[in-house]
Amino acid sequence: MSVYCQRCQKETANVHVTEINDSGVKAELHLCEECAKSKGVPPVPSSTVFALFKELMEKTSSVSRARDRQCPQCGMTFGEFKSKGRFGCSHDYEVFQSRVIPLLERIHGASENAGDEGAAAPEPAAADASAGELKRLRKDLQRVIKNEEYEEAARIRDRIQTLEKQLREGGDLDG
Amino acid sequence: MGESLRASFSSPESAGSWMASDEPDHDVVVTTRIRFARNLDGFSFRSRLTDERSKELEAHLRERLIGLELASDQAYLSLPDLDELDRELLFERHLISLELARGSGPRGVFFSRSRHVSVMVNEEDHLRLQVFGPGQNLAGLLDQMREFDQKLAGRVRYAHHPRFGYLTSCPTNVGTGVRLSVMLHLPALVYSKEIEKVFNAAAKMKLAVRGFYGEGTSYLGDFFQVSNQVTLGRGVDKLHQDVSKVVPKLVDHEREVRRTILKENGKGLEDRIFRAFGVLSYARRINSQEALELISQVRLGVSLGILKGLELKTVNELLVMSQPAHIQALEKRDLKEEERDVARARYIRQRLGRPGAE
Repeated sequence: MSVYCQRCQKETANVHVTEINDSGVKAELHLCEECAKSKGVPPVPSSTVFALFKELMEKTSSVSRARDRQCPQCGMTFGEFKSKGRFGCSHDYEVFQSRVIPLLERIHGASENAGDEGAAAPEPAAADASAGELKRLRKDLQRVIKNEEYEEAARIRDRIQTLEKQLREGGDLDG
Repeated sequence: MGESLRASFSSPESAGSWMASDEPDHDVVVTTRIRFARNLDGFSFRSRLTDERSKELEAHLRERLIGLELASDQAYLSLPDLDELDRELLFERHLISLELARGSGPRGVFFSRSRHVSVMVNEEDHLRLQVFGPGQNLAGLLDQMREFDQKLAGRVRYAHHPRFGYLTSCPTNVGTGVRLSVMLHLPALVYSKEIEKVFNAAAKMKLAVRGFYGEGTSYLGDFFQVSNQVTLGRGVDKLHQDVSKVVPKLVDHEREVRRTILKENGKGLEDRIFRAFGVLSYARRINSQEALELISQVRLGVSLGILKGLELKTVNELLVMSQPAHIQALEKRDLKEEERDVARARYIRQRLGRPGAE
């Protein structure tokens, strides 16, 4: 049995407002959309529901998006890497960092390069790489926070701090 | 280029110059090889490169490598320009991998035979720098490689990450990108079945021991390669130590077991060595697998002083020249397998020069 609008008695009431006055007295109003609008009741439950749905959808797709995440440079996904055993480009290490790290631990028993690498990456190139890296990292950080991937965000934040420290110290040496 | 390549490779001089003949420990230690894997910033790895970009990459690296002016005998060969025989020759000389030889697309090799340096372009990684030499020479070759690597680093932009180091197509090479290998001849350890223990012990030390010839777990001719398994988390100097520490232990172990076999079954060992020598000296046809196994026995015989009048240099040469593409280069034509086996036997007979063996 549908309820009719208390104001116009013509349309079905689908806006249900609970007003609580200063003394805590509750009053329930059942109005149709038109009357609710003219009464100044803020719209529109249906769009709120829709917004809720949208948010839910985005949350789910961001979870699957994490699984299907593609490297912006070469389009590789981690799933593809797993089946081929080879990465698509050097940027993949950064993009899939959270999954690369445990993989490297399994292969090498380590996931960080040791200090002495045998051959110097020439200093200017290294600094350039670091600056470019920082830019990329900061962008990645924004994205993962938006996707609520907080574990990865923490890792990226650590990486940023380490890099910033390195650059500062490198700068001091040149100073 | 094919003509002169074939001509130079079919001449047996310096055919085995990268193998030990009078270096210390030459009775067990054959060669040292060091490989650096490097990639360029701004280019995807090969599987993701378009043909256009692949050509660009090759042209770029070709120019930079030639510009290094490494040696007067330096050369760059574009593999698609070579025919199959030439590609196989390069592989048999260990200048390129099987993957590069039999692959497709723009790719090449830059090398200098006098310097025992080769650089593969556009294999699994953009660059595979390689240097090799007789005997155990990790320290000397590592210095050479580092110099070469630094020179090249000054002319191209390597893909390098503050945390992960040098970035490579396969994560098993990331970090230092360095593979240090020593090739050893271990016939006694194989014969006594001790070789399995060696595999296991090496694995525990994060070292890989693999048959040099043959696929996967098989090993032909008792030649093995010991190398570092790990490339990340340990610096190059540490990796160098890891490998160079274990080599003398393996050398001692092999020598000990050789002595034991001589003591307990001297006649049996002698018989085996001389039978191998006899077959090689007189057979009218022989396939590469059998040749390899017999040459290995003969190498043992020479190392132990049982086979006199034969130089290790000659044995090394036989190892290289008896391979399929080399036999065809010698005969100056493509040969079917049966014809190759006959030609191989003839070449070996001539080199050993026993009476009545013509």
